Amino acid sequence: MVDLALLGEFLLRARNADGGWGYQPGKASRLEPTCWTSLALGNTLEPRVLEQWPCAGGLLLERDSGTPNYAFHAQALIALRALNLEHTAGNRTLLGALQRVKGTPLPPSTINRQDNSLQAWSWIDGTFSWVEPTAWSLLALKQWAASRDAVTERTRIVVAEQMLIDRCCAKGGWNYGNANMLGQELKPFVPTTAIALLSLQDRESLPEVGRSVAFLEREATSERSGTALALALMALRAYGRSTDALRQILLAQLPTTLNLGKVTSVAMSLYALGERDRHAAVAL
Amino acid sequence: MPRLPFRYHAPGVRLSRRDFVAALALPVVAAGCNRRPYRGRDFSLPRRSVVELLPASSYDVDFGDLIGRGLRDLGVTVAGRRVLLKPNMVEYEPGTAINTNPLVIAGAIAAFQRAGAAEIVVAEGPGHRRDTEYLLTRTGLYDHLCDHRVRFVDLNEDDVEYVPLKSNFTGLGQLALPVTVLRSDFVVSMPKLKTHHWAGMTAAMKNFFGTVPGAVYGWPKNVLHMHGIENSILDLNATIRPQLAIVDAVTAMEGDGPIMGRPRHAGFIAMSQDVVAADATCCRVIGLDPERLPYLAEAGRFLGNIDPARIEQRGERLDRYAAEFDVVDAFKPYRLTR
Repeated sequence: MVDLALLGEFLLRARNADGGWGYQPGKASRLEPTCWTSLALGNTLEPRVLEQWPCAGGLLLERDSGTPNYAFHAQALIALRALNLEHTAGNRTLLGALQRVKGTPLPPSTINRQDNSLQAWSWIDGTFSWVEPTAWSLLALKQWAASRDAVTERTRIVVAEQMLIDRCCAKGGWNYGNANMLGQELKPFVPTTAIALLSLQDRESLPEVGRSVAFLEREATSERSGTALALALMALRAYGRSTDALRQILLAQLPTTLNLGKVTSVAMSLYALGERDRHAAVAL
Repeated sequence: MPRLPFRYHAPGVRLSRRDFVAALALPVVAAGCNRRPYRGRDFSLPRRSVVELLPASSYDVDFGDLIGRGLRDLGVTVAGRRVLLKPNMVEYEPGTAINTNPLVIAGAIAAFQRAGAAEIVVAEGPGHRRDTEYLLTRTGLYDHLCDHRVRFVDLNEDDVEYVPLKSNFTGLGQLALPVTVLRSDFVVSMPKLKTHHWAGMTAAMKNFFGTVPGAVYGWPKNVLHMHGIENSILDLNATIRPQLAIVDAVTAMEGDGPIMGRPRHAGFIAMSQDVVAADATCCRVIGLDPERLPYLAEAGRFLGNIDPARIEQRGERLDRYAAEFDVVDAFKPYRLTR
């Protein structure tokens, strides 16, 4: 079993001179690992790199490509709120930009059963709405909607919820994009289901949500990945389910996670296990 | 982002299958009618391409020996070079044939270590399940990497550099590609041989979708689908210029690949320094005509050989493995007449 302090030490050693974190030690700072490491370690570190993250038109940029990734932008809004940080462009500006971007609509499909008109969030500009970016964006919007000085569009929340419900797999849970294709029902996955459930934790009465929680309780313990286990742990906790078994499996997974040196996975694991803020960052 | 020169072809959400496959071919056909989107002097077809078909009736064979034999027969030299092995890892489901078998990857690692490679890296950027820790542990590849002390690089998350495309079928002009790929001396495509519901077949060439970084382009690499799957396959191969193909066709996949198809025993490993010739041979083995698959037909004009007269078959005879794999309806007209 790995001492959680080792995870923190790994993350501190992996920090770049610019204050951020790459996906692996020694790699350029990127938004997703920096968000999760900031959440795992808290905001005591200076400089507060998230506040000065490169930004264009209100959208945070992947540093080496110079392009925005909407899922990671949404994660940054979640982290900024949780850590009580203010981006130099203004958090309201970042929130406004997230609400302006939409997945590309498509005409009705002849080969799968879904509503292609729903414009939620895509990963990047000019592509179709997908489950992960929609779920992270929905969670961020719902969280910021509760703040006094934020302006959120209710319609974006409604459409994102409709899209996630539309893409829910027949037996509960979520695949990545489609729930069915070419006449076959697609499989749900643990990480996507956990993220979608986090964004729908205020909609527990929906039958799709109930089926998906049951799927996650049933399947999460068979995962062997820090990311999947950490996300599942946070999601099940948000729904008040027991996470004791999952916690033990995640602890057992940590040597592998550390050995692979995946910063986001280590940071998510530390955040999920450390319970420094009792998962307030992903709560509604 | 550059505007699209072609119509938006999302993967399976806009057109019927027949329309979609026909539409995929359009840019390639258009390229055939006009000036080709690459500089002729950058490419030259090999006078002759050797494709080895090595027997592997099951995954119990010693793949280190088998692939080592293939390297020697092909005259591959990697001493002192940085070798990048690019397997195909998409999703894990027990009893399926979705991913390159870890035993084949481990065998390749052993063979390249014996051949004196200075460094070996296994690298993949899945277009579907982006959690590579899950894929590595569930497929068992993680244990092999530990045994051989070989590093894994998640290409979805690697540092990137923008590079100009050596051909421009997509109209993108440039792509951000992982530095681990760009700085390797010797790139090996290690796909699983599968039928593919949008491209007809996926093997050594289509495998390079996994080099496009998801953190930059999103999942499932939709930018490539929007600019045409066929076009993207051509641009990626023209730009990366892989040096070797090692195709896992011990248990292949037929039907609704690359994920939902059925395993089908094929019983061989294909190796070639010409990835186009490797794919053309695999295509013929599974009963499809490479000259009718748009990306292979176009690749045969500038990247490698698909003409059987210019492909020297070594090892086992193609006839030994020839079969008619089930394909989705849209690709049934592409079948070979034997």
